[in-house]
Amino acid sequence: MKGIKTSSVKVRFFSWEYLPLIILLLTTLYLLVFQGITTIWSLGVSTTNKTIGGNSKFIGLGNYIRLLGNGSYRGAMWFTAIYAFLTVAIKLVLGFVMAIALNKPIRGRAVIRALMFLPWALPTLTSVLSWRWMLGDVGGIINHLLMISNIIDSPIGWLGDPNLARWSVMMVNVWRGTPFFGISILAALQAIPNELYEVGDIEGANSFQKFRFITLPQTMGVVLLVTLISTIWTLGDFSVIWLMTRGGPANSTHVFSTLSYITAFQNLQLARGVAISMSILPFSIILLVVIMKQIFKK
Amino acid sequence: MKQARVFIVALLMLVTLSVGILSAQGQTESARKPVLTVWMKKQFVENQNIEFEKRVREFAQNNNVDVVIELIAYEDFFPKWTAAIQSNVLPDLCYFGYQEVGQFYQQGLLMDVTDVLKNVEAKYGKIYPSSKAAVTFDGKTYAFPVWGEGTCLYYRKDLLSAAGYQGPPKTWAEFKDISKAVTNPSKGIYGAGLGYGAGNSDAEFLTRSMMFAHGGSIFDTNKNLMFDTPENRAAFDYIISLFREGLTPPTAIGWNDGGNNSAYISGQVAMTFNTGSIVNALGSNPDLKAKTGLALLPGGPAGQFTVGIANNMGIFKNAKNKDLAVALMEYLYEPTWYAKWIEAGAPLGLPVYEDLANSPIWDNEYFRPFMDSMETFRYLGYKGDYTPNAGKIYNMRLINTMFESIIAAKVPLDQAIKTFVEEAKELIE
Amino acid sequence: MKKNRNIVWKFTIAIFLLGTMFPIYWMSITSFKSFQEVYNLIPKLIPDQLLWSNYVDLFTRYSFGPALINSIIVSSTVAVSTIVISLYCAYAVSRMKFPGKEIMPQLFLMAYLIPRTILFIPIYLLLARIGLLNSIWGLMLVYPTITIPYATWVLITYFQGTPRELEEAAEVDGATRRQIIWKIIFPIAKPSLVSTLIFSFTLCWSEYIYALVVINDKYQRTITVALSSMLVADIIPWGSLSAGAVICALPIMIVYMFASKHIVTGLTMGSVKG
Repeated sequence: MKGIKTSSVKVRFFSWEYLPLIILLLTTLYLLVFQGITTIWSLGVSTTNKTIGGNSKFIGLGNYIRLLGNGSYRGAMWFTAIYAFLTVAIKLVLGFVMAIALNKPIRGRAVIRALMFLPWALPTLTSVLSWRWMLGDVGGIINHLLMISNIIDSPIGWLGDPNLARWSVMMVNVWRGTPFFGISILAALQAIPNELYEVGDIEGANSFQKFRFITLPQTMGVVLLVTLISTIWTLGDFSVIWLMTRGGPANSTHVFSTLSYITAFQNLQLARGVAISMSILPFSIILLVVIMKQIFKK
Repeated sequence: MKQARVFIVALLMLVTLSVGILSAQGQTESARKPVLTVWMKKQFVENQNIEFEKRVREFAQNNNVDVVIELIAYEDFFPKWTAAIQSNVLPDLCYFGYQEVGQFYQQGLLMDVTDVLKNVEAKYGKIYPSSKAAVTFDGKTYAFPVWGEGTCLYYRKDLLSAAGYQGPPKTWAEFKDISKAVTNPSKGIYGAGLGYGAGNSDAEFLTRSMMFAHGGSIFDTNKNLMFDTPENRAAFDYIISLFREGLTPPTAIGWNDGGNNSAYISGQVAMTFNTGSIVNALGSNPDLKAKTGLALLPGGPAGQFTVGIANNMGIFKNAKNKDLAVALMEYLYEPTWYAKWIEAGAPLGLPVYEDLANSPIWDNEYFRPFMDSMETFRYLGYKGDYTPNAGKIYNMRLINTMFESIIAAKVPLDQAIKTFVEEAKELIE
Repeated sequence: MKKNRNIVWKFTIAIFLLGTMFPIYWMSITSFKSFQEVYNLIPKLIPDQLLWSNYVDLFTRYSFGPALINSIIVSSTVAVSTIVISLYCAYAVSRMKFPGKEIMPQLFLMAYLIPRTILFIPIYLLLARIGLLNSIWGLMLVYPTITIPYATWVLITYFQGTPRELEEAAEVDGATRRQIIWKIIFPIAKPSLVSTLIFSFTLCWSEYIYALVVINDKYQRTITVALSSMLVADIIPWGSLSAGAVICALPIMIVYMFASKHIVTGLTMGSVKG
């Protein structure tokens, strides 16, 4: 602490003491402008019958009511829920394991970490299209490997069967999203003071107990936060499904975002398309509030 | 020290950001020359892109205007159109597929270009009526036809002749016979290179061609939905049998637009249907190109049909520089340049001038069939004119979904037809 | 016992590496394959020869160079400013007293609730108003809406878990707030800051929809849009597309490996405790 000079606090109109508050205020304002206004716009549009380039008339909840009667919409609702729940759960578990493994003292750790981070860092377009190609039968490496190791005897249409296609898109989402969990949790793990584990050792705790009573509570904040953000992002995920299956086969992999995209931008029914996307809002708000409470409780 | 450095970096960034904001605004205010914005579909043949850009820049120079040209991949257009229309910051001359022309026309967004087109025809020559028909509504034309795309049958001469067939199939029934004869799963070769998938726009078009050939259609002449007909059912039974009898590759359900191409280029299928892009791509595979034959799509009881693709440039009513856009379009229509530009992309792109059909470049076994297919062009609204409703059904890939549910999810035909009709009615306002 | 456990972890890492790296390996070798080899019915795990032509194509035919530079400028500017801003915001939320303290940070996360596939329209309308369309400045103005909420919240959770004794001691010594932030909190929070920096960089690096609609000029494009503009017809240029992916991965690898060092040093400084 040698560098810190003691100085008398002067009373001024502007003080550096308040800089953090000022920045927080400005940032909130900035987010309000860019997100608040746009959110209100989106909510507003979804209560009209607006088409792209057309005029709009207020119709209240008309879009939402009409959507509930639509088979494709209900199908997309189910798959959105399943898709988000399953992939986030798997990503969380795998991410935790990955973080713990990467926290062990292993040679070449820096390179290994960087490599494992890559799936999340690569532009979705290329990585998802490559997955699509790998799962195909013309030059599809996965079918090829399964065939030469005699596990299957003819190529599997991974994206041609509704159930297989669902699992395939979820697999790609997990592949892409796990590093987000892994690296975030890793940063939290590294912030745990070693003393805590030393105390644990002295008290004779086994590794499970150390995990349960030291690692878990110390990383809980980040875990909750990452889970929350990932859930929100997965609920709105577009590119993985659009590039893999475009909602097929037989509409089995449509989620809100893909259905909304076709409705709003290809069929020009903007208001209805926005309404489709907005209908996850109640759910994500509840999730947000619940998880925030948990984080604040600490 | 460190804090100072970080602070300075942050400050510098803030300064550059604000300078950027100010200068960007300054640019828009101080610009004296009009800026012509052109959005064009990016072409598969790179030379076409280069030549197009050159031509537009040449025009800009001659007319002392600045120009922003963007070449955009087709799928990327949708969000861009939306943002442009909603904000009224519009390109001056813009590419549209004919479906979009229909949709945007219905929204009242496009400029009527009937008279301009008449001038062009008087000056430069006659434009195919079928190209104009795709973008003409109630007697007025709302976009400039720029090029067409035909679909043909690609077949492997070597595989067909080994099975005892000397020429390509003339009818769909024959297509199935030949497919049966050449399919050999142990060698990984299949006769019928067609598949379904939500990302497969080819299949949407091709299935309609097959339905039309059987006398069926989705719409009647009055643009009303007419789906559950004996003719359509005959076409459906036929298509389903191709899959059930194992004449298509095992993973053909789930193909996207690239599926049939990869299958053909890799030698997995003996026959497939596509635009000229495979011919262009075979340039780097002369061996396969020599074995490849091309023909019109097979016909059926009702005749021979190809669902055509018409590509256009149009002008938004609210665009800033409409006159300049018209002048640019006329400049692009100039036949010597246009012919050269079209030929660079042959056979993927087909000319809209009738005279150019006789150009010697098309006298080539790989090119001619595409040119001829133009005679058999019909559009999504067949048997009526194109309507936005027809476009919506296409965009939702209802045909693909129907076949996927029948073939992959084992849904009975009756029920799949019922679902189609329900979904289609839901889309139609 | 201990040795066995280490082997288990090594094995786990090996499995993870295999899973994450196989598709990336596949992309990398594809970038060296010829058109004919790519479209072979039987895929090859090891290419016949290493062709550089896809990379040449990428930078000549697809003009990937400007896009790369634009992306680097946008991503690094946004990432660094995000970190500075978020550090202050997180500090304010977790260490200062003010009304609305519980609500304000929650508002931050509201920013994520509406998917970008919809939000791009109003964002575009806003940028059109400000006159920042068609320039990377516009992107730099918008991207913090994606990075700041996440970064701030990671730092908030981090600060809540760290003890305050040091800061309190410094306060007693009469240190100013600025000194506390940069001399005490900054070094301790370094691992967290660095990982958030990388995440912010990556979020901008792979953003697509805003970049697509905001930019109209091919020299202002970013990498994701440059990549998607390669998909012009129904025949995918796998070679160049994969080459693009490899080029996109390199800066991230470099940034991450460089940053990894700081994560480790940050750890020791944190545990040594002043």
